[in-house]
Amino acid sequence: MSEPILQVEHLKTYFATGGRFGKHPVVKAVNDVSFSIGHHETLGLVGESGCGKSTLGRTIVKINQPTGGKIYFEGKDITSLKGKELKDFRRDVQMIFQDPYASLNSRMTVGEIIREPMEIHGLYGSTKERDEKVCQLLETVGLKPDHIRRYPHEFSGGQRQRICISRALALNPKFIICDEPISALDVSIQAQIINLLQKIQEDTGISYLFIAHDLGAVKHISHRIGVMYLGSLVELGDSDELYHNPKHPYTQALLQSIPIPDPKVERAKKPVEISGELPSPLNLPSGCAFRTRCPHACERCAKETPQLRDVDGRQVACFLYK
Amino acid sequence: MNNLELKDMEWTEDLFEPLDSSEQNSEFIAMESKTFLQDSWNRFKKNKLALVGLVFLVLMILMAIFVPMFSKYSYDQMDMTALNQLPSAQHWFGTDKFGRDIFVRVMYGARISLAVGFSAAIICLFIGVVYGGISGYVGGKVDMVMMRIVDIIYAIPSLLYVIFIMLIFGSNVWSILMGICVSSWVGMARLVRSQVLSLKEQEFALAAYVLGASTSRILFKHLILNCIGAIIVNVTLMVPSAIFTEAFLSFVGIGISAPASSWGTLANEARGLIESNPIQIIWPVGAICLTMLSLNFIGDGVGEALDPKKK
Amino acid sequence: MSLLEVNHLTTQFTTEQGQVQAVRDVSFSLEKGEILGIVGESGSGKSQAMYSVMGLLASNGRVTEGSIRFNGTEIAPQHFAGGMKEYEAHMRKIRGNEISMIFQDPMSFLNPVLNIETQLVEPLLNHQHLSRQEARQKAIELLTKVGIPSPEARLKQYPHEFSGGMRQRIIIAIALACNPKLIIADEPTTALDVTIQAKILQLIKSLQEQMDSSVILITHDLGVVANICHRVIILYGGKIMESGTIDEIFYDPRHPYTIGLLGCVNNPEKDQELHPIPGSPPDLLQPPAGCPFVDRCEKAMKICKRMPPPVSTLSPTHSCSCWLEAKKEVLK
Repeated sequence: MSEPILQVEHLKTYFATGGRFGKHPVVKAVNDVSFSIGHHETLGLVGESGCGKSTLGRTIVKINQPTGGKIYFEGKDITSLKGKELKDFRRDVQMIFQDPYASLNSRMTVGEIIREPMEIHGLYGSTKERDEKVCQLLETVGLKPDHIRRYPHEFSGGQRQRICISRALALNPKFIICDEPISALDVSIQAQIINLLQKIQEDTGISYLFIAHDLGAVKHISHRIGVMYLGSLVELGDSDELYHNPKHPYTQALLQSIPIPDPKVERAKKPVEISGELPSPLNLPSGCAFRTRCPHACERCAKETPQLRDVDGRQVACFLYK
Repeated sequence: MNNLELKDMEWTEDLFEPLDSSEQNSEFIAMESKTFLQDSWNRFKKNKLALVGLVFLVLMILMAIFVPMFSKYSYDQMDMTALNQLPSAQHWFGTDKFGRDIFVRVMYGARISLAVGFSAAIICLFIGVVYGGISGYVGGKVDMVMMRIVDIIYAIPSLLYVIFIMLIFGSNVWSILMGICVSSWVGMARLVRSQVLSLKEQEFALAAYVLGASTSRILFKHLILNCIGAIIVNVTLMVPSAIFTEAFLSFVGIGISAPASSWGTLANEARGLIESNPIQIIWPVGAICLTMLSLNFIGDGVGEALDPKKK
Repeated sequence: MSLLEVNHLTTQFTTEQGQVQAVRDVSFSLEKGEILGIVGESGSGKSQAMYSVMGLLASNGRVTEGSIRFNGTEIAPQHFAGGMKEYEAHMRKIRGNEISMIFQDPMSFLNPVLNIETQLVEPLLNHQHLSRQEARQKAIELLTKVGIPSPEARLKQYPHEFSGGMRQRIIIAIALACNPKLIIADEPTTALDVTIQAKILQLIKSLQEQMDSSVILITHDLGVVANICHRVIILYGGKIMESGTIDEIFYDPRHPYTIGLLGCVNNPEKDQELHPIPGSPPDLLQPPAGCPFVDRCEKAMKICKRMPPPVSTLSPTHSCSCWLEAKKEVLK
């Protein structure tokens, strides 16, 4: 693989809890995560709510400050960017959010919303040229140019998410972080959005970090998938291989839990082995974070923290594989 | 649909020809496109009380502007031949103990009272929105310091400020205005801060941040624009309270002094004659009451129109 | 006799923009001991149809037509001579007792300032007239049944002390309190993580078998349907598109919408490409005159735009409203 577009090394994002005074426990939302994404590549990031996947995405676009570690974009460390350099970085890296209802300013028309990034960065000379570009973007995402004067609340969820996508595309970014862009949408619309994102990638060669809690949806768009549990990556590998032959017990449980739209398969399925629920992120278990729910947990899991290691061409953080 | 109907119809193959794709319009939106203000105005119009209030207020403002301009009497023109007259064709509201026309004086008073009310509200609006907005958006230590200052200002009764400022600058309209503003912008600042605090975590604000928008753009174009509803409601309720404060101060004699007249001074003057000429106090008090009432109706109407869920 | 029989149910909402026809001419029946899935996208009317049955419509919503027969008695609001007052009184006896409901968001259903015991015991005291002691005993039983460890200690706790999955178990316990004949579950697992969802589905399935009650499961997830339902109804634009047993719907879908929906979801066994349905759902302020799906349908015909398709019966359990099926009959 050539030079990656984004490289994350030992990234940590912690949040302090509680008030201003005294000592308070920290939430280790992202705990020592490393990965890289190549040009023209999509990395899927999967995990249950509270596993830190959204925080990871938000740290990369600098909404949250990292507590430690480095993020390189096109070889340049971006953790301490400021001023002009930060603004240039913003042109290259965009984000699509989860809730299409909250992520559009309800007091602005669709035209104003999509034009805004161009105004901020001074792209295209006049308002007229910008409007032409807006119409072009609306058509790219399957909406009509005459929607330009309408307000967000007049659109359905899927249409709104497409408006969000065209806003993110307005700056011709090289990299987009999709923070659960489909989980608030209907099934038929989810597939639309996934196909749209894929088509954009084919046309422009853009890279994605695609965050979701649904492994099934992620598999279609991702080249590689990373699975997160309580702030750490537990498995990272090629999407088809990971999906058909999961190695980490957590990935296995996650896959087994997804209900499959096929009654015969569902009837034949064994009950899910995973027990209990996510432990509190304030008080992580010692060693492997998953050991409290893992059917294969042994003594070693409580003592040592497993690191990501190469197993059959992919990376797994589990002592089952040596 | 029942199946008998189906039997009656002529069924031909051409009914089952494929539909031309140009006839499919799945991105169709039936809802009429309306801006936020149009939408709110339509809701406001449905509230009859608020509409009556608005009409009354507009009339009052027009009269306050034009009556003193075109009347043959002026507010301080005395006429010793017509003291304490009852309402008549010449003097619609009668005359006071110096023979001045009360109608003109009430309308002249309306100028001062309404001007004080509206300018206080507008000044507080600007200070409060900027202060509260910055405090809420920047957060952290800045917010902490800014809000403690607000707390201190809030802790001292507003009358004290007014009296203090009047001692220094003398009793005129400007010091009353200043006094009212000093104490009442903090309410607006607190309101805007709390709104901004909750809005800034919303995804549309984060999206603007990720797009590289400057702090002032995020604050004013995105956050403040989205709490405009609450701000407008607050302003419409701030106007009557400022008018009332001014009237109260003038009534107790520390506000605007004669011969200039505000509704408060007029009421104060008429107080002395309440036994012999009780009708004289009705005019300024009535003006205050009706204006208050209509402003409050308007405030209610605006509140409902801007936030239809809150009823 | 079916437990629940709904015929030609039509529900409208009055909004500032006009009349929204949320449910249009919906008919179905539910047998005893059956799990029926109602599948549809947001805005398809799936929740509103069930709220109409329960009498839980928002104040601007109204059942305008149709009949709802529960256990042989008519419970559609317009059939009550005494008006809404009599209807409300009647429904209060049924709700939480004979029909109970499980909502999507457990946190908004549970009262945060009351402990679990109070909330669990309330329906028992109201409907079953048990003594406080008996009710408490029953509450502990219920918590054990839904798989909450050390139920006696947990009775005294408040909703925020439970995790999302545990809260949903409590909701299920409350729903089961009076041994209802019918449980309506509105997206019971949507707010939960997949691993927890799997557990809750297992729980609902095993409880349904034990108690032999009927369940209506409102969901947008075909995987969930395949997992626990016996029969399924596909709703779109306020109308029933297709209904049948899960095998009929999953292996022999006839309606283009059903086929489209199955093409949108990921099925690892087939490993196919995703085939999204283009466009957006219809605007129910002005629903299309013919089939609601006409604007997004690949196989749309001229007739589809003009007339709503009649219901074609394909088997005693399988029916479909599509001109593609009706065509075969009328052109004979």
